[in-house]
Amino acid sequence: MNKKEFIDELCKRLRKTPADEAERTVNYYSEAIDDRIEDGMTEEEAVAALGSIDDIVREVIGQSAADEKGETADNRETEIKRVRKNYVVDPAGVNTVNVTETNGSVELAKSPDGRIHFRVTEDKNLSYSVRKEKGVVIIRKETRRIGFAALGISFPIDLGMTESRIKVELPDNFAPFIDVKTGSGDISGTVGAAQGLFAGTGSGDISLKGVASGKTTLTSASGDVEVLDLTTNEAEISTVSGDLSMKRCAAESMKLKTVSGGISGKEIYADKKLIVNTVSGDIDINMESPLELGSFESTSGDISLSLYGCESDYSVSAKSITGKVGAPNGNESAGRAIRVRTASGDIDVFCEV
Amino acid sequence: MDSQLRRGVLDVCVLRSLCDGDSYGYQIIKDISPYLTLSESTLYPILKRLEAMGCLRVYSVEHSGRLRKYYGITETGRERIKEFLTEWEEIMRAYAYIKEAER
Repeated sequence: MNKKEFIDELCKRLRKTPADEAERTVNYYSEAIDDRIEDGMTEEEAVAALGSIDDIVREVIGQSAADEKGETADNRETEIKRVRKNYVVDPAGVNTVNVTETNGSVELAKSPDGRIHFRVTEDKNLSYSVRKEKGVVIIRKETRRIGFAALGISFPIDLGMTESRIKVELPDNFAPFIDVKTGSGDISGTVGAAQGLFAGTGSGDISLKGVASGKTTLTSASGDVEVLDLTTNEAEISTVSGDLSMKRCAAESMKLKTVSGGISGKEIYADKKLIVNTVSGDIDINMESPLELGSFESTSGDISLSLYGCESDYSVSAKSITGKVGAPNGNESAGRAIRVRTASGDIDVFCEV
Repeated sequence: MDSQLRRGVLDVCVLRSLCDGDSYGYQIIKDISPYLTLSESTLYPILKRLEAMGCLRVYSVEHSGRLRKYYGITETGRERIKEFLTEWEEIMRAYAYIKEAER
């Protein structure tokens, strides 16, 4: 094990230990490694000379439990007290709700009493701050962190609960801009009316329903995105490696994008524009409204479309390089163009007259 | 060795090692090693305990681009050594008494 690995592991194991104690311990052992390296040992030898991490952690945990209880009991884990909190904000004058989590999840729900509630659980290493500033309400996670440097790199370590969660309750008839971000948590719940909605997560899933919003942007890097009952002017929904699945979604214009995940849409209403794009995922879209402009592209996935008849002119193109394209059906009429292309896949076209 | 007893002995050994001058973790282990095996995971809580008891003063010194923690013995620390030696005389008497039965 090298120094970085050792320190990482030690930090991980000391997560439940009070922050100052954990920081002191990490510094102590970091120094002990440096001193041995300076004395001629290799990094690995220096780490090995410290003995087992189990012993180190046992001594620290035993001691800090003993410190707290004022006795000298060994091997007793420190219990961290957790407190449920509800931050209540008057929605008057508020036009934006901004939620910033790091690794926790965010759930949206309806408020029971016309006020904004942020329900969270805190402990001594984890708290939230809520601010109201020029019409913007911001809830932010404040974790106590220890920072230490090893090999010239600094590592911030969160000492709070490994799993945290914010439940955001918004009143009816409020309709703010909602801006929700989390690094690795999920975003879920019922949104209700919003001037605009942005929800972004790095590795979490997004699962939202009952959204009535101006512009809607949902994005995840590796999680799945699932939307049920969406009404919006403009939707941009994307995930890199997760699947994207939409049901009963209506927008004037809609962009759906993944790289490797599949895109599935049931009961889609997009009267102006629908752009669907993936590299290796399959596309399966079922339209319930006429479509003026539609573009469906997958490089290697299959495409399956079911289109709704249209009175006016429309243009739909479906393109896959190696996948199979099954599309589109629709009434024939002058001025309508349906282009279906695949380089090596099969094409199925059904036209109902 | 009984853990309580061992802990008491180790505490005083660490204090003794500081009687020759202020020192840091690794050096303390090296100084004690001819007499007792001591690992970092054993030393760390001892240093903490001694500091909490007021037997040590702790300060950091910059050393080749990083901070190194130094430990020095306080008056209380020296008292502790004296106490230990007195206590130990009593233990030695008890030892002699116990040993007699063996003969």
